[in-house]
Amino acid sequence: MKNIILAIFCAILLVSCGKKHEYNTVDEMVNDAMKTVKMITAEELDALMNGGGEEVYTLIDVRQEIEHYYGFIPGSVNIARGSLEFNIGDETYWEHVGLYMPLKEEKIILYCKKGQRGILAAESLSKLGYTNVYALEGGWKKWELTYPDVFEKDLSKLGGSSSAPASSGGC
Amino acid sequence: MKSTLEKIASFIVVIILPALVIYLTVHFGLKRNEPEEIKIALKSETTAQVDHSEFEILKQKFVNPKDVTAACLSCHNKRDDELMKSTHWLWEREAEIPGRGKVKIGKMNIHNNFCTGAQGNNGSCMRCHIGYGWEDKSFDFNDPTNIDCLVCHDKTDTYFKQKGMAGWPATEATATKEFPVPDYNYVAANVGYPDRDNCGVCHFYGGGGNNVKHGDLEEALFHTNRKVDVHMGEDGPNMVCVDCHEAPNHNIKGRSYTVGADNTNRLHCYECHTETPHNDYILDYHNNKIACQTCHIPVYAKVNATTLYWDWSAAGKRDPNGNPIKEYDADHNYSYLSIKGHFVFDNMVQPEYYWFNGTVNHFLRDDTIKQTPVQINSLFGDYADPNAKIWPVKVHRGRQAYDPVYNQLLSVKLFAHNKGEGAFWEDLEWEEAIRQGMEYNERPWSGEYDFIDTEVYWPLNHMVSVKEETLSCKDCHIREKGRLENLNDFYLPGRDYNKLLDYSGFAIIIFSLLGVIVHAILRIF
Repeated sequence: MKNIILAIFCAILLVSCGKKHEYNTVDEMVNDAMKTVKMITAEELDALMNGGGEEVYTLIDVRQEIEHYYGFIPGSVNIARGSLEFNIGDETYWEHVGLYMPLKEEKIILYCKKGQRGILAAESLSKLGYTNVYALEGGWKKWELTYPDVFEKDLSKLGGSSSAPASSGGC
Repeated sequence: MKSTLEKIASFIVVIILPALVIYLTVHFGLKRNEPEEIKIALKSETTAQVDHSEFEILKQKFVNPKDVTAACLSCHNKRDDELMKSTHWLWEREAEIPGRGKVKIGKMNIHNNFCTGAQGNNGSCMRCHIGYGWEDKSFDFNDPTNIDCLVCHDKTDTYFKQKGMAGWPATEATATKEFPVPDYNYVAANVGYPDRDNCGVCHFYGGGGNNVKHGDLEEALFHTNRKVDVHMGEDGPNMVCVDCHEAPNHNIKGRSYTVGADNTNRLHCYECHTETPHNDYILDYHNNKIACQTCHIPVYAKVNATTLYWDWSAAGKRDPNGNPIKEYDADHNYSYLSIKGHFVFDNMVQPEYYWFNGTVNHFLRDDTIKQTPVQINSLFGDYADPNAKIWPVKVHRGRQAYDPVYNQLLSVKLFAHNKGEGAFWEDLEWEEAIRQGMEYNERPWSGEYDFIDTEVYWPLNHMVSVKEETLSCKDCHIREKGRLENLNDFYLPGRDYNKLLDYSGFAIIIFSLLGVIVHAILRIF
């Protein structure tokens, strides 16, 4: 009898563990990823950037190219989230952009517009064996508001600026 | 040995009864009741309207809008007296500010953190004054025909004040495709209670564009849904501004704390929702220290972005051909304008949280700078203040021109109709623009200028979310990264802790349980 109960218990346990976890919203997915992803604040990143090069790190903007060139954190390389896993360990890619390919144990910091894509991208790199991956808390927008003077942009890469939103009223 | 009956009685008294007490306490103590249903007759739906097209006086041929005003006042007599006492007309009001006493404040004498100040830029800014032609200091505030009745009461959506014309609509000489001469007879025959178009034409576009100033008031509210604003949603109550902002005798209820100061004439949620809206003790108790808005406005700028940063020190650059520059961010909001400087816009913004007791201090035009960033306004209140509650706030930060010798913010002439008249927006020259701005405002200037960090606080009231999207307990009652992590003058359960207190509490609970169990065993056996 004891063996039968034990077998049923193990079977239930296996079924429970084997069930694929599904999220109702992307917020749930991000919150789940945040349990394992390490975060870095804008202030900590600024300190790292001004640390005299003592610590090797790679700063990656995982937004789309169309978002990146309108404004980005100095020193960051743009690898859109959709191709991050394929380019991160591709030496040819890094030669093309003129940077050293980050080693798996080196510090990698990812950012997007407001933080969520960066967190999911960081979780993905962890699964690829990168052990020192961080996501920038609040992303580019948080950086932009914390250090509004510290940014670069390259509108020439966008083939001309887009049209402006209409303005009405006021001063 | 005890009998079986005694054992059962002991079991019931020692185990079952305490368990029942705990169960009932938890069950009823934590019960979440349904909120009370609100049954309010909206003012906009219950106000009688008349057919103005039947009135003889409105059948005369109108060419000048001041004649329309005279016709309005011939029936609506004494309304001009009411209006000319209002802040929409005077652009200032008397207020009692702690530490300052009674002062008159308003757009007449304050700096703002956007286009810096209205006085001296009348052609542009006074487009949103409820009068005709406040072009300079000669404007007659005592002439009732200077009142623009139509801008608030037009129901045709064809009446507009023209840009740059100090509150005048277009004339034959100035009309454009965007701003034709209004058909005054058509408009005058179709007037009524103000709707969101009348209010929104100024209040949604303050600061030079949609949602630049408020963050929670913008053109998306002209036609919106409950998810954006649960009150104004066309799939919900479909309320308009004046349903809450009633205007008995043209004295409009509610205020903006960037131009108002004291805790009077405010609107409160409880006026419709009562002080126990949740029908739930714990949630309703929160309202002692938490404004309704704190939980019910979890994000603002839900549709279009709002400005969060405006740096005037970057203004004035030209491209290699000498032309002004316009650049945009990835979401097609301005990121740089030569005439205004560097911007940061964002949408779906999480508010910052501050104590606020309904009273505000202001940095007035002639004040001396004593701290950086300069607080254009600041909210009074802290935990110990019985009138203060935690509020969600849009904080707009920036950098403005100031006089480093006299240590004052500078008034700048931004607007003129033509180049060469000294206005910054035309000539991109700071010195002449400051000289003329200070001269108009009759203020001394040392001749030097630099830029200084500034910030302004906007308590949020609009874009109230549906109940499913309000804050939950763990948004605040969480050990780290909670919404209230920057408010540290009180003990917040779930966030704050004391190891000695926590361990003592756990020990008391464990020893109590052990005591109950041991006692039960002794009583039963």
